[in-house]
Amino acid sequence: MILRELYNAYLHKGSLLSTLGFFSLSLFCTSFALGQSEVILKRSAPALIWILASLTTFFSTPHLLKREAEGGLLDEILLHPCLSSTYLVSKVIAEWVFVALPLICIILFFSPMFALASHELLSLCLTFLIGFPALSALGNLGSLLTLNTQGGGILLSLIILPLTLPLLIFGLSVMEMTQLGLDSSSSLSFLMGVSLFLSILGITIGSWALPLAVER
Amino acid sequence: MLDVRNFTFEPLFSDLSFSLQKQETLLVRGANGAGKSTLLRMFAGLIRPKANTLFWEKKAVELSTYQQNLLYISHKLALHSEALVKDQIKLWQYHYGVRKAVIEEALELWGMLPFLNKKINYLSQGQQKRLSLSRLHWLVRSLWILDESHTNLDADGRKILDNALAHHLESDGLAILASHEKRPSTREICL
Repeated sequence: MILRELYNAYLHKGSLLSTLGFFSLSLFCTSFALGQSEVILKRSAPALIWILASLTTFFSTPHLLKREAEGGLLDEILLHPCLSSTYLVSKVIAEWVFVALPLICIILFFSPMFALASHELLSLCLTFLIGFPALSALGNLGSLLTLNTQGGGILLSLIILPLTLPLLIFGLSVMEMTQLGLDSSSSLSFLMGVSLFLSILGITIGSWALPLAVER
Repeated sequence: MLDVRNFTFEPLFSDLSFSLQKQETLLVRGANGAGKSTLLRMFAGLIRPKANTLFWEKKAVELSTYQQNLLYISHKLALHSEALVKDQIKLWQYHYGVRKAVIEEALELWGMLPFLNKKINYLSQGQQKRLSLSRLHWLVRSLWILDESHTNLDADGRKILDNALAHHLESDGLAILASHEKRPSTREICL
């Protein structure tokens, strides 16, 4: 199932490229909008990059699932002996490889524009990689919950976006600790715990929602 | 053997019961919106039937086990529209664990082998149908549930499908078909 999802994500490289294009452009514009003051750039960059990366993830990951539902591929998944949760876990892994890693590369590419030191950059990338599975699992859950509704995108934001706040809070707390030169390991542990909890929550409720979403 | 007792999905149908033996075909016939696809999805367990209404080999079905006996092809063809035909083969390999050669053999039978490098989106409706129906030849399952399987197929395609059906029944298979059209000497439920 993991191989299937990895290959499936690879096949949708076109929509992935547009997602990455959107993220690059947003980062580029943001760096200009923040001005030339190094203090402001350093102070606001982590939060802005985290929010932009989260939103990009959040609105790109459910796209693939919606397409699969439209083509009748979710029936094929439900008729497979694998559990629905295995499918959703495979999806998160595939998205981690094909969305999270390229987003990290883009962050690294644009990092000179935000005047971030290498240890701050490392910390930012690490927090995003840890938080991504939860973002992906929640995005897919939202997509399943709003599969049969009109204007699902807005509903999805209302249902799921508040759930991502703990990720943002702990992710930025790690960044703040790093910038102040303090030990960030406790915040990092919290972030890992929250990410794990939200991933399990998203996948568990998602595997319950999957058969209901295709019952049409 | 498949037993259905008191299947109900108000307001489309209620108290529907029948028994389907090996080598038998059941045709679900009805007008548009009569509930043919809904009924077929219930047979496949995609719409959960109530407890003790669906029996396979005389036992109340446990969905995940029962579903390993069936091949369900709906009017949504379960194809990755963005993929090339050869990519679709690879995805089937990962999903079903079937060898590439077996799938390609079936595609040759359905006349789809020359289109390996063509995007599924760009195939005609009939060709997409052929690609999807090729599963009948490489996925061995005893119960076939086919929704509007003859639609969009040309005479040649219909002949391949009918031959596959005949061969399946000869090998002790069961089949449930949904269609608007009558089929000669086939048991039917009219919705």
